[in-house]
Amino acid sequence: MSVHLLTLGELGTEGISELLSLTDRFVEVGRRPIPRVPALRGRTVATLFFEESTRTRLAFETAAKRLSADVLNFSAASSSLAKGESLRDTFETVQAMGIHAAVVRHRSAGVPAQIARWADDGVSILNGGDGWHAHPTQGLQDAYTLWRHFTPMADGQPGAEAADEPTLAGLRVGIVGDIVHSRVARSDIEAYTALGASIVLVAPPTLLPAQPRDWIDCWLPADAAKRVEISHRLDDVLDELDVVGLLRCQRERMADGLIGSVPEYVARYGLTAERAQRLRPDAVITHPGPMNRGIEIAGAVFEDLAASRVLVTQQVSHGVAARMAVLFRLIGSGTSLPHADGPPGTAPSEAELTGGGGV
Amino acid sequence: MAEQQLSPAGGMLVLAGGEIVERTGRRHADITVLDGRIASVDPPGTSRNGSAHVIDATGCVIASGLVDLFSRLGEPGNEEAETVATATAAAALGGFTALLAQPDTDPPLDRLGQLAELRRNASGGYCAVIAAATITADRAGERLSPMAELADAGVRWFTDVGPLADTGLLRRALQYAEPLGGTVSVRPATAHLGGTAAMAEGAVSARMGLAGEPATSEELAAGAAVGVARLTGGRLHLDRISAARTVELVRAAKAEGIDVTASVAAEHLLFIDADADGYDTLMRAEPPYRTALDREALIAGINDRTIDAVVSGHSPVPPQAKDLPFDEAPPGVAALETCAALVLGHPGIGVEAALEALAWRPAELASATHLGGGAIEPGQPANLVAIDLARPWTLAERGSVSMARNTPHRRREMSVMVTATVVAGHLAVADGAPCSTAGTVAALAAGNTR
Repeated sequence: MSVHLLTLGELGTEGISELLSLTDRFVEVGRRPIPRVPALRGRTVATLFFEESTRTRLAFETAAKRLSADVLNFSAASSSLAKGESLRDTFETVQAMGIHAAVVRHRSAGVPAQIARWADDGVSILNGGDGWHAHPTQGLQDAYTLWRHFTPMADGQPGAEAADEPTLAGLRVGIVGDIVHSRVARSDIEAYTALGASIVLVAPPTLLPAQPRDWIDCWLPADAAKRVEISHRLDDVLDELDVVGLLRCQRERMADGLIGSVPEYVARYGLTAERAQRLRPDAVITHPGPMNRGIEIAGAVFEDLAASRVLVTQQVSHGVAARMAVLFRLIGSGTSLPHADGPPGTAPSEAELTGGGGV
Repeated sequence: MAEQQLSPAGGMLVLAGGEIVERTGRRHADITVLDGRIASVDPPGTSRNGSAHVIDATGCVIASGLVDLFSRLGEPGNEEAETVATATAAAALGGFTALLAQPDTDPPLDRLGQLAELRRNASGGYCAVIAAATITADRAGERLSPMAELADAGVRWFTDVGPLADTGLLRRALQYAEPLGGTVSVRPATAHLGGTAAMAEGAVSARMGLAGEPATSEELAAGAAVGVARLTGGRLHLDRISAARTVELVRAAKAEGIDVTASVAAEHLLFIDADADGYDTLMRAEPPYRTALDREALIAGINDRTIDAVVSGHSPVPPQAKDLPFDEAPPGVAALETCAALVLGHPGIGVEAALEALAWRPAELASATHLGGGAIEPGQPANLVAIDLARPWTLAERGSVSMARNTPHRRREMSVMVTATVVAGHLAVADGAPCSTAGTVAALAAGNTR
């Protein structure tokens, strides 16, 4: 059992499935007139954002407040990091305020893992995105979005049926773009493969790790690694895909000399109008945001497909429920995350999910 | 930690009952030390003298003092992490009788004034300190330092403690240093191939989301340096190599007759990139740890003498500096107290190969056989170490004399202990603990610093 959430890989298929099933419950809470429950009343969640982020911080804050937790905000801009205080000093100061969980976001990979080693017993660390390494709650919201797109809740009700296990089995997902620098890609790969999807990573070699096959084979469990392929040409795989997972293409990569130019990137890896025509009729598009219209996806394609095929707003809305699930499991009555090797956690009691948490 | 009385200055000291290990072979003998020199080497049990201070070295290996070709001593500029006094005390405790102090201090050692300051500082040390100077003025990589003046003052080792990006400058340095008897040392790395990355490039760095330095970065820079050494005939040292292909390159260069030597840091014989998987900043190394195959090649290189020296790589950093993100934390470990124990206890390295790389060969490279690594014969300076190859200890229990705490070995069970160190005839370490009084420590090092 783990008291932290650093990557999705450490949860295993069971753990990821359990969090997605729990996400169902909180999606349902989100639909209520007063979308607030008392589950984390008296608990304090700190958001330690050493790197700016609007979306992730808002999603975590909203999730914590809907669970009736108190929220402490820390951002590097207002901190004393510039005065020579170490990462550890900063964290220990916040921890001394009396917190139960800290969401840590940092531009350097591994900072949440480091902070988890300094955390007192009873303080859970949630990775809110670290460098190129991992963004596990994004992976959960993306996996949840795909699961519930392809397997909708029966009658709009949360998964009451035993057969309604989270799965992406049979889906072929393309992850397209700047994979080497993407924590979202890494967490999506962990989540999707754990749930049975097959994946094709589509990027020029300069936007993939140096030996991509070694990376995949050393990282993922063998049965998951088998389901990951690598392609350098979107056109070769486009018509196999059920999901086109676009990644943000950052213009500074061009300055780094990793791609020749934006137009040639668009011509080879962009979801252009021509390529949109070739999509399978039921294929959908995801993007972690913020989206560069005209680069990853043509503006017109986005407009044409937005209503039915682009799942970006669903991803964001599910992001709140997924983070509620994680917070609930880590610092609510469930107490800890199910680990790959551990027994399943307990389900939330009805009392925790009913009754208003106050306004 | 218990402190013991230093042997009376000038008094007679006997190392009794040990097995002397030298290049020429092994023999059981008692060594009598008087007035800073080896007075006699006698059959076991024949030298006991009522007035001598006798160290019982039964069951120990006795070797000439160890010589470290890479330590950072902290002064000047990093006194928060280490001082010359604490570094030399740690060195003696680790079996070293001489250290080559790296010149990447603040300010760097690039002129006579700083050389004099180091020698003043080192005069109070527990072991000899050999000065190295920078290749380039202000260590800026642009123009040569006053190498000839520094050589006249006794400096024989020139290094910018890292890569030298400008191959033309390296060529001039090798040309210029050659008639001065100087060695030019570079750590091979190619800036444009990730030469400053926090990790080796590979499956582990990709999973961890960290930029990596491929082994090719080191191989290409080493190849360029060897090429320039061939061109100039200068003396080149490749500092702290880490990759299998670099070992191969050094082997080929030596076979060709090029005047090149190489060292490896002790930690690289233990750790690989996967050991950094938890983002423990103590596992951030310079150069980065590589694969198990690279580690095997380094060990093989020590055993076949392709790699001349194992260095401690001692790099003290203050504790808060290791509490930074992995890719911002300074690399390196505090290694002087554990280096010899780890190498001599390494399952893949024999005692003779370890002593070759820790003492005999580095002493030759630093022109310092009078300070360590020399012959154990009557009349020679008495720089000696007694090593118990089967005495377990941990750093956590014994305590540390280095100010630096950036070691991953605090709780590692060591199998080999340096039990005694004799520096210029004085007992600096006995029974695995330092002997110290300020006056005599100063005295022991006074005539001992070059």
